[in-house]
Amino acid sequence: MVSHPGTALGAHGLRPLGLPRAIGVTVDDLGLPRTVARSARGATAAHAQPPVAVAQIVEVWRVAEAWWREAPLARTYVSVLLTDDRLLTLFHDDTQAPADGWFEQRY
Amino acid sequence: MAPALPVACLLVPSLALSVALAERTQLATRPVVLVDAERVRVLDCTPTAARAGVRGGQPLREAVALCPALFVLEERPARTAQAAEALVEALGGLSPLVEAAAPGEAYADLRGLDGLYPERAQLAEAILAAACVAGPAPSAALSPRLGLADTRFAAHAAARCAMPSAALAVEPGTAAAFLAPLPAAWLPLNADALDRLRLFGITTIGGFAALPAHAVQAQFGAPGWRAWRAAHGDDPTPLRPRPPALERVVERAQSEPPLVSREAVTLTMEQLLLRALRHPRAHRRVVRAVNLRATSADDRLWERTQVLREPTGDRMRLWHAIRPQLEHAEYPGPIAALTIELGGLTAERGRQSSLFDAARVRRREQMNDMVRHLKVRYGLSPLARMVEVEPWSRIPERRWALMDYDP
Repeated sequence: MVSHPGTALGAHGLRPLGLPRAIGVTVDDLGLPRTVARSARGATAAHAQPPVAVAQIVEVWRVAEAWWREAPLARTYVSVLLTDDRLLTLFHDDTQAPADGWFEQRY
Repeated sequence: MAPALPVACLLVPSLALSVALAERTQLATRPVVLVDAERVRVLDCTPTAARAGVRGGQPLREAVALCPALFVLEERPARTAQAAEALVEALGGLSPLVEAAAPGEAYADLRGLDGLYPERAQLAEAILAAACVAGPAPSAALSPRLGLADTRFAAHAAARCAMPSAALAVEPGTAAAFLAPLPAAWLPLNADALDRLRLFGITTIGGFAALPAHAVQAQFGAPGWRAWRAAHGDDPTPLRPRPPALERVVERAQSEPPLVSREAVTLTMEQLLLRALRHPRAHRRVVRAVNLRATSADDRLWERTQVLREPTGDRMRLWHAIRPQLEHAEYPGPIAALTIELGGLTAERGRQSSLFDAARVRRREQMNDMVRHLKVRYGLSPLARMVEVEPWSRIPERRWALMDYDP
């Protein structure tokens, strides 16, 4: 039998790639994004760009995983086309309030 | 029996000032400032001086104008470094995993010590006793404080709250509540971020912890996220233990009267190098880094670290690497003590040439050598390897990860 190594469980030294970035979003009555405020990479909120209106909701899908665990994962993904012709993939962390917990998912 | 706490923080606030005051205990309650070697700028001050408006960073002239009865002490860098090292050594006598975070601030991983010290109070007593007998200064005057907790940040905050020469433990699961009323200025954020917190009107760690995680991440980036987790009692910052003693050899020499000629210093250092290489620990091993220290008669310090591009155990090659440092050194005065430390000792190995695609193998060897070099120099591997974790996952950030490249 393999003896216990004595270290805490977990993937030591692994840094996930493509972590979502927090993003400012205002939502409509249905809870879908109305405007999106992105900040440049490395910039702080003080340097955030002005909000851009959403021209079209392209697609909405939901991912729910690990609901049997203490920290379930529930996300509503929204692919949006902005008025400046950029296509973004956002998601809302459904464990948080509708107006909070919006992230940009980069692949 | 109280549950074991895995992280200890041993702290001497204002170590440089404490070291200077240790020899003049009668000044402890008087307004005292510690100044740099040029006697221009205030480095630190006692609470009595602070009450008169004296602050670290002030020009000395301004401090004297604010408090005419000020006592001025000059910093003793060599003694401070010696005291800091003694604290780390004291923790090292109890746990093999010790991190020297800053002068006067050391952490130890206490996991696995329950067998030796079943009671937490015994362990705390042992650490404080070891810290109090260590060091060049009268140790009681340094009054180290001990914090015990289940994360690094909580242990540090506990040490800051502890009474001098006493321990304070934060029970598991209570770190967030313990940290909540403490000042936000203690958060592990840079000065700019702390300034912005102050402008937002956030003055306590609890106030910071109450902010939504995504807002903190958007404002302060990854360091903000780590600080937010730390404020919740879930500090993700790991301990970075220093290399074990087996991986280094230290040789010291003292000179009375102090050495005044550069040639004498160079010659003594050469003798020290010879002695260090003859040490059984260095036998059949190669050296990756050499640290040289010279302490002047008035406790000023000259220090250089030479990380070798290619590890070697050859005396002549080592000497050629460190000699220019000694020949161009600007010593702070007559030298009373010299120290050489051979670090990153590693097993000697031969180089096996490859029969296949020699250029590619050579490139990889060169890269591995360079990574080892950088690791010794900066303490961690700056290169990472991309690995597939769960390529099938619907969650993008779970598919790929970066792993430290450690040849």
